[in-house]
Amino acid sequence: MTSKLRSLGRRRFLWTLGGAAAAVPFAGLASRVLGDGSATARRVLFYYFPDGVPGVSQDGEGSLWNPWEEGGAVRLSEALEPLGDLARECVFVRGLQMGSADEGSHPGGAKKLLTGMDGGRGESLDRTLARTAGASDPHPHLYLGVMANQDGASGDKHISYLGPEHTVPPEDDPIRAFGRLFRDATPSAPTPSAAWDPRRSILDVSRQEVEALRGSIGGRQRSKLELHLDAIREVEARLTTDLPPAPSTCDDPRVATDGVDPDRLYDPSTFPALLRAQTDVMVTAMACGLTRVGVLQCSHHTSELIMSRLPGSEMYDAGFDMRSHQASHYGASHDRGNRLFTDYLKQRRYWVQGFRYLLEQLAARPEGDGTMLDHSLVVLCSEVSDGNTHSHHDMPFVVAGRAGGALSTGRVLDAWDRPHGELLLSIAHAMGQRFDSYGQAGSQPLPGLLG
Amino acid sequence: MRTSTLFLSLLLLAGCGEELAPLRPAPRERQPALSADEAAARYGELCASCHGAIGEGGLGPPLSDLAMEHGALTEVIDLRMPENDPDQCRDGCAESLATFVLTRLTSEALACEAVPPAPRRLRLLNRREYAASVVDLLGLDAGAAPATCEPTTFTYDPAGRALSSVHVAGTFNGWDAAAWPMTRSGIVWTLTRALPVGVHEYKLVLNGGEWIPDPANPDRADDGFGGSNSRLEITCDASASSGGSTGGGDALDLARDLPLEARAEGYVFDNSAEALQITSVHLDELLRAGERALAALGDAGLDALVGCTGGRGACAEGFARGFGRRAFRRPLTDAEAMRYQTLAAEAPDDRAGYRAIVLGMLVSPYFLYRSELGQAQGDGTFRLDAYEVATALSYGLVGTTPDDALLDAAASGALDDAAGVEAQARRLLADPRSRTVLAAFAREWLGIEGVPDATKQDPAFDAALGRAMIAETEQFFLHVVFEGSGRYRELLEADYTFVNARLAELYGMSGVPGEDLTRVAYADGRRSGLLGHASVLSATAHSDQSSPIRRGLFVRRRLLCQEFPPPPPDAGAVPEVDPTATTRERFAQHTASDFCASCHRYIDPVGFGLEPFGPTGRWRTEDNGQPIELGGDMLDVEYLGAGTHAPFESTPELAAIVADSDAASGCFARQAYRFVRGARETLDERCAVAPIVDGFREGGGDVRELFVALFTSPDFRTRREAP
Repeated sequence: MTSKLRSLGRRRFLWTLGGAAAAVPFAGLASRVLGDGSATARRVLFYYFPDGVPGVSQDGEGSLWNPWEEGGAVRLSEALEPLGDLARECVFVRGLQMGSADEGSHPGGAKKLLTGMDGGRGESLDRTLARTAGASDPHPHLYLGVMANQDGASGDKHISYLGPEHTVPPEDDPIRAFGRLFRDATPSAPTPSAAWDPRRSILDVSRQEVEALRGSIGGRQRSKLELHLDAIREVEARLTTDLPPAPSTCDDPRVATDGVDPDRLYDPSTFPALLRAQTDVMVTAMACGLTRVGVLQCSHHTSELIMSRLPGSEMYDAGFDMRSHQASHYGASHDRGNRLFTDYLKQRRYWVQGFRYLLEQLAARPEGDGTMLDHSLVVLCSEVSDGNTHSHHDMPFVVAGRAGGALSTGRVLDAWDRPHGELLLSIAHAMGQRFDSYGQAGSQPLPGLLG
Repeated sequence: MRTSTLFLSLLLLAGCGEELAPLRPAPRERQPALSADEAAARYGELCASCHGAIGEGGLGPPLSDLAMEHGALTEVIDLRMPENDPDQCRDGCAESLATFVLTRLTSEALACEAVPPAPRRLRLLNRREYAASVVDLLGLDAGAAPATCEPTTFTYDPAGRALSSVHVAGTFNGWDAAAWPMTRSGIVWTLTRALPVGVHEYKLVLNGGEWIPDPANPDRADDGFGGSNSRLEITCDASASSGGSTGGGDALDLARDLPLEARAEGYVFDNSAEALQITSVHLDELLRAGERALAALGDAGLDALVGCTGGRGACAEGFARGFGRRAFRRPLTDAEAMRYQTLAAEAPDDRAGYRAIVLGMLVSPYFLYRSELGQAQGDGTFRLDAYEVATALSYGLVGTTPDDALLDAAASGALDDAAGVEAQARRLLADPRSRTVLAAFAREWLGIEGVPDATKQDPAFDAALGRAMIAETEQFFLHVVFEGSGRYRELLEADYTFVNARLAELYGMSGVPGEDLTRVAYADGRRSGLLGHASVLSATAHSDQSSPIRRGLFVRRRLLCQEFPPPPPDAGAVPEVDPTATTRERFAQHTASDFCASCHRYIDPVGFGLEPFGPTGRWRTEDNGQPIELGGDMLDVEYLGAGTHAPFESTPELAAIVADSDAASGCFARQAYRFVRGARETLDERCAVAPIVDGFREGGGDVRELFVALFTSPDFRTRREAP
């Protein structure tokens, strides 16, 4: 690019035209209590980072990720230490397993992580909840990435499954993501509500056409068209629903984008700015009632992201390139004399800091009788346990937020090698979706998590 | 398993004093039996990487004509297969796979006497195809600037101020305050135009009358009225011309906000018939892109497109039928024409009505999906109709919607026989637009699209150099196909390439000035064809070190179509960085064990041969302070398990080994087949591919003839019901 325009004059903030809270649609996220009186979370957010944690080492040393309880308090491991006092907002689930299929494999883990199905042969929980709990929201699902599409990553590199073996890439550009969410929420659209909006009539024609086409085929081609019909319904709903005023959590919807450059979305020196901006977009969208199901995917497994080039991080080293996956193969033991291992630990601390920032943003916004975090359920996850052994046992899951009262936090929960499908089922229950089972092994909720 | 046992015992220790929940194994449901199609797919996923795509053997023993009882084979699969994870296929799955092996992998079944066709599909346009189609349908001028210049994007942020319009006016459009409207895109206004090379001055025009310099551009010049103009210098950077993620020369960049293409696992092209599907994000962006295209067309452009002045009552039906025939790539039914006529009638005025027809058709499934459904033939098969054939030819060869000549050929019956199809295929291949498609094929086949975004330690590397690397490979590929011998062999064995000043510096050549790519000969015998290209060598290396594994796998998977299973569980760590050892030595240690070597002997020794090229493809004689050892070995080039050796001393020798092999020429033909069909060939399609592969080899590897043969092969227009 030779034009000077692109590299100069970046705006520092994204904000809605007019900026008024009243301009932003509100999907009516009132507190809900199920018929049986149990509390539910208003929203759920999955925070993913790649390449696991320093779990049980190849030589059998104990996990350096898992926290423990001592004297009634949670003691954080070195890797989790950046969470600090926010540990009280978390349940640290130890000892979940994802089954033996593809154990030892990053892609195998990524496929099972949110689907609960070997080989990713099913819809992932975020999509299921978007279709159910989030069905009436302007944006039922929000999938944001931070360098998650680096090197053309697709397929098994992404954790959100639209259906069996079918992922769709997340949006890596926070400016584009913000525009997509908020542009229809601005008051300056020239069409008064009574005026003819061609898009409504057009979508009506489209629906008839897709339905006609659907009648002519079966199998996978047919499910492709079912998905198309879902998309038409979602976009129609955005155009036609009369929106009540924005919630109080949506006072000043704007996102700082300092350091974000849409032309350098894969430059590691911009990673911290991108992570912060994508977190802000996610939280802002949720605060404004645009969505209640979100996935924030940091990088992807086995990526080329050079974490030692992340400015301001503990592992920053201008003269030395260290990738996440490279460091994750730190060797057979937790050797602090080994640069790979110490970098790996620092990288994990960085991901935990990102998680902390997310929790802080939710905790900073009052909602109802508490904060947004109190009404949310936030799940930290990765696709393998120990990064060197690629084990699918003792998976690193942290569940944060009070889920509207469904979750009591500030504790460690031992899962005793239960299938992680049980956690997925519990998350669905916390969102008010009382499925009987989830995935291939989530036949009951995880004992001790909710209620 | 050692780790999980240890883990359990640790848990038990940690759990002292707490109430123990009962330990139970993960419930394992009985795996159900598979349909025939599912069994074939599972064989491909779980077994083919070791036993071969048709059971011909490879890392594992051959399975064709296996003399085994069904029950015994079921038991072996259930308990032992796949070797790295038998739980993947148990119970009904194991039974179904045993049936598959014993009935389908037999000489009789594999004899290709009957050629079962490919499944019928709907294929969503990818970003490249979408943008090119819209530009062609609306007759949008992609810009007056040379095609090798990237367009410039103007962005204006009104800082919260509500504006009715923003225009760009300057020396490039005669200071016309109404000619170039910017489009509001979220919170900002943008306009993308290709500008001629040179110095331009301009201003932004707010609300039709308020002239201001562009706040986003600090470069100013006196405007002669006491104020200032914004100043912009365009220097056309040839290396920046291509390799953009959407390809094509579309200055409007209509696809810029559409989501990236999902790629099916194991499928390298961005046009996957299965993976591309529409979500609400797609639909939102498709509506916006259509609106932007209409805005770029303007009222005058719209009037010209409609070409009828009698008002919508008189013109809407004709326009819907005329535009619809081009957009849907077939004549509209009466009901469809009526539907769009009604849509136009609802609009407040004529132009709004025509715009609704256009926008409606641009988000219609009949435009967005290329139909390869065909007509039922009564024998369980389907036959593509003439319009579907025209569509497949057009997107397959020129990457855009069929032109009038093609639609007319479909209407006249000229595409009903192979000769007519061949004539059109040859016409399209000779059309310059085919270069866009073949460049995309080359980029994606070689996996080099991500190079400009890569991070490298080499201080000379930046995005512009990365784009130049892609441009080199594209230009080289197109040169071989269209101006050179046209032979596959030349892609590997050429002793020349195309470089600009920066690539020349990287390659250690002198005397190539400027940004334009110039043909140069390799004088030093170090490089040869694509294996010497910086794009390929960069894409298969890390930031700070080469990767013999990636480079070896590149040759095996992309050039030879040989597949490998993923590393087994606990395969162990990648070699630790030993400050005294070369990359080659470290990896040689790694694969010294028999266990690792069973696969890595095929991979690493190939990559070792490319060790003289650093992480950006720069020639080097030392690695980690140690001299580089030249050469490597290509075991079993034709098929894994063949038991052959082919040692080589240099990259040109490696290239010759690959170029001489049937495996590589067959692989190239198969990659082209996959690209055109939007999917990897299934076991059933193997018989359809075989004659194309044979023809390609017998014809001496003529790439243009291959791309014709892909559309004239007997099975091209037959389909079967989709799974």
